[in-house]
Amino acid sequence: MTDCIIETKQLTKSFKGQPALRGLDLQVPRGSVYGFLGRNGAGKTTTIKTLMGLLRADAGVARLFGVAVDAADRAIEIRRRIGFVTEDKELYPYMTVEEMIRFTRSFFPKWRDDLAERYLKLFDLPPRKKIPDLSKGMRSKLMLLLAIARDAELLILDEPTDGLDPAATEDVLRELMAIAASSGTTMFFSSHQLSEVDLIADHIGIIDRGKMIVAGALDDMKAHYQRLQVVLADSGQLPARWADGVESVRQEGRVVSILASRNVDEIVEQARSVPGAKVERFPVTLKEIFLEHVRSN
Amino acid sequence: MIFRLNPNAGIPLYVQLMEQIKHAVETGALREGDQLPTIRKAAEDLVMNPNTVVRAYRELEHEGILELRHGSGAFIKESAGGRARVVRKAQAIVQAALERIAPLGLTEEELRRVFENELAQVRLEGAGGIAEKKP
Amino acid sequence: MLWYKGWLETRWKLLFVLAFYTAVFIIGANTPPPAAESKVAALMGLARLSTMIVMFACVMMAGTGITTQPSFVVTKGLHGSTLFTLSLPVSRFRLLTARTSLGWLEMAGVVGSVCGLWFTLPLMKAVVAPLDMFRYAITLVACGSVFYCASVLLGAFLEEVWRIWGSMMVVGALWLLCSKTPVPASLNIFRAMAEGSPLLAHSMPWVAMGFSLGLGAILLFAALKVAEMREY
Repeated sequence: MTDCIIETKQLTKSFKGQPALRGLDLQVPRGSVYGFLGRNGAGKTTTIKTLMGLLRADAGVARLFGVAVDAADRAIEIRRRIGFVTEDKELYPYMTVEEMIRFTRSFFPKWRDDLAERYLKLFDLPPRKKIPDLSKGMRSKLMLLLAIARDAELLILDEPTDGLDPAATEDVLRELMAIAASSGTTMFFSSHQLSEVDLIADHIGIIDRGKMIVAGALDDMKAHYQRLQVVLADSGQLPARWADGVESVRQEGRVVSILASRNVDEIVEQARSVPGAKVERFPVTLKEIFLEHVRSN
Repeated sequence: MIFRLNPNAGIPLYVQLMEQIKHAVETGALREGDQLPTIRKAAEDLVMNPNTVVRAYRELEHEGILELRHGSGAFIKESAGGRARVVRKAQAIVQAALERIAPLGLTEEELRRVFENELAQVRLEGAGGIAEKKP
Repeated sequence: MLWYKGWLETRWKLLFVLAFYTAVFIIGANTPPPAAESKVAALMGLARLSTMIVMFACVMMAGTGITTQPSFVVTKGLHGSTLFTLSLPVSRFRLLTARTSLGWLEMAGVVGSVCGLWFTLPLMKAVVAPLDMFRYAITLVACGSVFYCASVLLGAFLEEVWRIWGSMMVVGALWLLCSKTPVPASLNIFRAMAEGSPLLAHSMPWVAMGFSLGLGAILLFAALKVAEMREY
C-alpha cells in the first residue's frame, strides 16, 4: 500500500441514533489531489470533522500521517501540518483580514509571508476590511490563504468553491493546481462540482449514506468504465446473468444501457451473442459514474 | 494555443491534451525544437491536475512527438515533423474515403459512429497496423 | 495571539460594564444618601451593592470559553469560526485558559475600578480607610472567583443566553444556601463580602477567600474536561 496521508478503516459515527458514517474506508495517497464526492447528507462533512478531531468516532480508526487522530499527545503537531477550510467559511467577525492573518500566523512556525503576500494580492483581499464585510467568495479565498500560507503538507478543504462565482472558482482552482504542481502538497477536498473534480482530481472517492461505494484513481476508472448501448431486435432476449463488471442495466423498450466497470470486452461479446443485437460502446464521464453508483445504492 | 479541455467529452483528459498538442504540430503551430509549457504552467493555465499533464507529456515522449530534457523541459522532437507527415498522409486517405461516402447522405454523427465502431472492432480483433501505442 | 483575540472579543463588553457602573455611580453619587443611622449601615449598604456588582461582572466577563462569541451577548448556536479555532495547533486547554484568565483579569479590573470610584465619594472617604478599601477589592475578587468559574463551567456547554440565566440561578441558589442553612461563618462567601469583609471586620476573610478560589479551581477543571470531551 502506498503511503496514505489520510486513512480510515470502518469509521462509524451516529448522531442521536441516526447513523452518519457506517464503516467508512478511505485511503488518500500522499501527494494526490483527492476529490471526495457525495450527495448532501452522505457524510462528507462528518468525515472531515472526524479527521480534524472536532467529532469523535463511535468505532473504527482514522489516521493522519499514520497517526491516530485521537492520539492526544500528537494532535497538535499534526494540526501544524494541515491546512483546513471549513464548510461555512466563517472567521472571527471582530477581526480584519490583516488581523486574521497575523493571528493565524502566530501558530505556525513555517508560515510563509511571501505566500500570504502573494495571495493577498492575487485574490484581491482588502487588508483593513472587517470579516463580516467580506463576500462569501472573499471569505473562502481568505480561508484558503490562511490554509496555504502555513506551508502545510496536507490541505483538507470542505467544499472550497461552494458559493463562488465562476471567476472566483477559476482563481481558486488555478492556484490549487499551481500548488499541486510545485510542492507536492496533498489535497483532500469535498465537492459537488463534478466537472471541476473531473479536471483537477487524480483520485476520487464517492461516499453515499455513510459508506464509500467507489474509490480509486480517476484515470483508471475512466479507462475501465464504459457504457454499452444495446439495441435489441424485436425478439431479442438479454442474457439471464451478465459477466462480472456490469454495474447496472437499464432497459427502455428495445434499448438497453449497460454500465460496466471492467471486463468490457467479455460483456460486449455477451451482448453481441444475442441474435440481432447491435452493440455500441461509449466512454463514461465522472458524472455518469457518480449518478449511476449513487442511484443504485 | 491549447484550449481548455472538456471533462464531459468522455475522452480521458490526458488524451485530449495529447491530441491538441499533436494537432498543433500538424498545423505547424508547434514546430520542431519548440518548447512546451512547463508542467506547472500548463496545470495552472488549463486548471487541470499536473499528473494529467505529466502523463500526456510522457505518452507523447513515448510516441516520439516530444522529448523531455532533464531540467530544461519538454521540447518538440526533431522527428515529430516526420510523424506529422505520416499523419497528413493518413488524413489524405480519409479525405478521399469521405468523398466516396458523401453520396450515401449520412449525418456527421452517423459517420462518426461508423468510424468509431470500426476502430473498436479492429482493436478487438487485434488487426495489425493500427497500434494503440507506439511499440 | 490568543489573548489579543480574547481582548477583541471582550473589549466592548468590558467597556459597557464599566460605563454602566460609572453611570450608576454618577447617579448614585448625586442622590443624597439616606440618613444612615450608623457608619455600619452605610457600609453594609455599600457591601451589598458591591456584591451584586461583582456577581454581574463575573457573569458578564466569563464568556463562552473555547467557542467564538461573535457579538455582544446573544448568540444563536455555534459560530462557525469555532471550528477554525479548534483546527489550529493549540490545545483546548490553552484556548480555555487564555480566554478564562483574560476574563478573570477583566472582572478584577471592574471590581478594582468600582472600589476606586466608591472611594472618591467623600462619605466613603470618611468611613473607610484606603487600605481597607484596597483589601476589600481583593476580597471581592477572590470571593467572586467561585461565581466566575461556575459561569465558565456553564459556558463550556451552554449558549451565551442560557449561560447568563444559569449563572444567575447559581448565584441565587448559593445565596439561598448561605442565608437559610447553617453554613459555617468562615466559609460563607456572601458573609465574607459583607460583614466579614475588611470594610466592617477590618480583617481579611482568608478562609472564605481560599474556599472560593479552591472551589473555583475545581469548577475550572470541570470546565476544561467538558471542553475537551465536547464535540463541535
